[in-house]
Amino acid sequence: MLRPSLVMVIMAVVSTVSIAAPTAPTNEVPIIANSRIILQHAEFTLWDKQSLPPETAQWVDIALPDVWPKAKLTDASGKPILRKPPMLGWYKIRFIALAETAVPRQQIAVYIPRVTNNIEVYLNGQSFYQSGDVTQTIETQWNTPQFFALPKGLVKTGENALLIRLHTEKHGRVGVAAVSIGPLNEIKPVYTIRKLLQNTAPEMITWMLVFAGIFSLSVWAKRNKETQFGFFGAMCLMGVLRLLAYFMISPPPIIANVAVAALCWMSLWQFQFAIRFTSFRFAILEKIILWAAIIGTIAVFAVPAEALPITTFAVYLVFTVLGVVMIGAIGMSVLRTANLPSLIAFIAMAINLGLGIHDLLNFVGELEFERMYLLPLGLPLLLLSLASLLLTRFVNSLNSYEQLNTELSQRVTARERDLDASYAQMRIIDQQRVTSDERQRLMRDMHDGVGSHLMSLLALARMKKLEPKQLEESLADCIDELKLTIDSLEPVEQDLLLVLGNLRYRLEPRLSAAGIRLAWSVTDLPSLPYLDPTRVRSVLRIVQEVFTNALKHAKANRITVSTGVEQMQNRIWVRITDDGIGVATAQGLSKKLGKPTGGRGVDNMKIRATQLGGLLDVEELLGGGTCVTLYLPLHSPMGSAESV
Amino acid sequence: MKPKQVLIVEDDTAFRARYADILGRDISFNIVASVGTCGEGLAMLDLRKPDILLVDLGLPDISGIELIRHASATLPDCECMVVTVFGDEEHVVASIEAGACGYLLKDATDQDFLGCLHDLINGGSPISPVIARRLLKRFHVDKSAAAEMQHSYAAARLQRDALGTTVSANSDVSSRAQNSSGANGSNNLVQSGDIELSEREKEILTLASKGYNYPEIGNLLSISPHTVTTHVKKCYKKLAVHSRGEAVFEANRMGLIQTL
Repeated sequence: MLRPSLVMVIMAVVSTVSIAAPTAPTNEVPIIANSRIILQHAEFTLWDKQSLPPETAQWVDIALPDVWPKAKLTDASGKPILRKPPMLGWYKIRFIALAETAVPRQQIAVYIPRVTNNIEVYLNGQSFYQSGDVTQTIETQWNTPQFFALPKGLVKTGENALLIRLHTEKHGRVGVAAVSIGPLNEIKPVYTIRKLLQNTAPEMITWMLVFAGIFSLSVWAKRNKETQFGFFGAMCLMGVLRLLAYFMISPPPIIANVAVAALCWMSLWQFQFAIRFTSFRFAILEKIILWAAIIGTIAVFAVPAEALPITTFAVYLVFTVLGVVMIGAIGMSVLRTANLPSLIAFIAMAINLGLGIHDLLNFVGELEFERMYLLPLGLPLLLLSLASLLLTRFVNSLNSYEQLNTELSQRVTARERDLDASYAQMRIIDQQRVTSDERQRLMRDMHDGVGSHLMSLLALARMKKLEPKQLEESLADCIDELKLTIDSLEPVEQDLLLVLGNLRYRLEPRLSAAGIRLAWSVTDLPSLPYLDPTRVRSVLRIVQEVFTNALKHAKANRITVSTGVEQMQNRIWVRITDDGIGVATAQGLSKKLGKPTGGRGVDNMKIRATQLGGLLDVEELLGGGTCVTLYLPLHSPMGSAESV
Repeated sequence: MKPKQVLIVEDDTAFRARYADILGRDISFNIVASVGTCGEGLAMLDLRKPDILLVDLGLPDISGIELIRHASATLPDCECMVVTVFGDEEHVVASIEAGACGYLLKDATDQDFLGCLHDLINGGSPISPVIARRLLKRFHVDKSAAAEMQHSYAAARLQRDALGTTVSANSDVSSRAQNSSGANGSNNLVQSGDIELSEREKEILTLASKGYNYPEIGNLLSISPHTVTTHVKKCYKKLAVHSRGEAVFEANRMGLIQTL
């Protein structure tokens, strides 16, 4: 099934004259049997009246295809018959329908590959088919194969007369191709293929060009720099204008002018499109083509109707010549740059040029009358070049996108590495700083605490003034100092109560050994966010000092430790009360406490408290005893305790 | 009463002499050996099976922690007591985790020293506020971690059950085996749940962390100071079991991850 139709397609394209079907012998009325017959003869008459030409009209035998300007007719007397459009030409075809073919199953059909104008067809005097609008004075129907089935009721057994009225146009080329007649099923496939190639395909291609054109112009509108898309879109739209004439049944007459002008601009923009695949420019040639297109367009619209065919021919000729030059130019640049899209564009344009030359020859009648115009079929090739352009762009952009991604991720990795390195660096610096802070703190501790204790102990020992009791006490002091340092490093989590509790735990054995009772009446304290080891140590020093005073000097029996919060003042307090003889009395100092002269121990404690952002209040109680209250802020103190 | 057999492991000869002196004055104690290294300590531990181990942490060969661990593993009735210079939280908690139930400060007076030892054999342990806080925190944090773990156990078992409905009988057996191992895992969890602190213990530790001493805590809770100190000792034991349990639990969790 595929193969015969393929063969038929090829035959139809190469030559529309079928050599497969038998041709009817001259001057003999053909009998319609089971196969198609190609009639190469008909009777012809000119008859401009409204009625049908009678048998008595001046009928002459003519050969088909009948091309009016070419075929010279003479009447029976040898006088030439002048055929000058517009005229109504009548073709009469006689055939014999056999009874078995006419009446029952087989319907008879007629196919004419090419008729230059619209026709009206009569069978046995009855009109039954019109190919288009036959009422207009001008009609530009020129490219439609004709096909019609004979109505069964009109077909007679025996001889029948088929009348074809050709409604010619003044300036067109008039002609009728050889007529095929036969059973419908024999005739129709031949027609279908011809119709497909001659009309349907151009129509479909027109739509393709519409979409491709809109697409290209849209790309161009978004990206003005991409002139190639602009040229391609313009070319497509010109192609559309060009192709309209190939499939419209009764187009407006102006279509002939439009089609010619469209061809000019199509060539121009096709060239502009193609050369932009390469970096070559042909300034002079481009200018020549531009002017040719402008002049050609003006010419086809300006010349009078009778001069249109010759103008059209001139324009076609000029653009054929220019086309050869363009192909040469493109071929040269393609050869030098050798990229695939430009090669495809070159091949497409070369093929189209070939088809254009074919069509020009057909136009001037150098080829057989049935010959189809082929240029429309070549236009899709140009879409291939657009496709290859888009493909190249797409692949390129994907590639560069990937490359960009790779680069980006590399850069990110590199940046991450840098960041990691700098973080590591910062960590090291941080650690060094912490270590150095810690070392400084410990150094200070050793220096002020254990160190000085040991030094004075050593000095005393060297002076041989050291009593065993004193030695034991001093050593215990040293160990207390050390423990203070250790305790300040314990994880206390900003909990002052824990700090105090731990101190109590340390001191309790000694207090109880001295016979002092310690009352512990504390309440929960909020956590103090600023309590770092340094500040913990400051607090411990203050409180330890208070205890030591109570233990050593105040001769107390009972010490009470209490805590509390003063939300209004934004502070907490720690109160240590003893029932001893009082600090001032013990130290033999003024009762006016809180002054700088109030004893070195108390002064030091006050300085420490201030450095913590707090306050130390020492109060002599009536009836003996001392009450020392340490106030500490709830939040970070302004002053730093670093210098403690 | 039969005197308690005491093993002393201490590298400082002065202190060894001092311990010998202090303990020699009390008929409740009898020094079975007094050695200077952990290696010797281990040997003596196995040989003499003492009732009380007095150990210094800073030994020349191995840390005293190892000795405590060995003692609490092989001699459940042996009371381990650490002697430290400062009684700092890090050393003490490590010792308790290893199984020690008390600690002594090196600068304690003779009286305190003996008092502590007596407390110990009577079932009591000392506790400092920092260590009390640390214990509270350990149990609290581990409890929430354990709850999370239990949740993932349940999720894992659900998932396995869902898979098990579609697999063959053969893998059903293995799944059952896994189930039982999963059950073991949760048994361990229950065990570690068992060694959670009681409400009373929590109260005692909370008060201790606020600086209250045993008599005060006893007053506040209307119990005797002796009861308080035995509670504290129990807390120590629980921490030791808990840390061992943690190791087992960790191992189990690893196993679970592998079976998943």
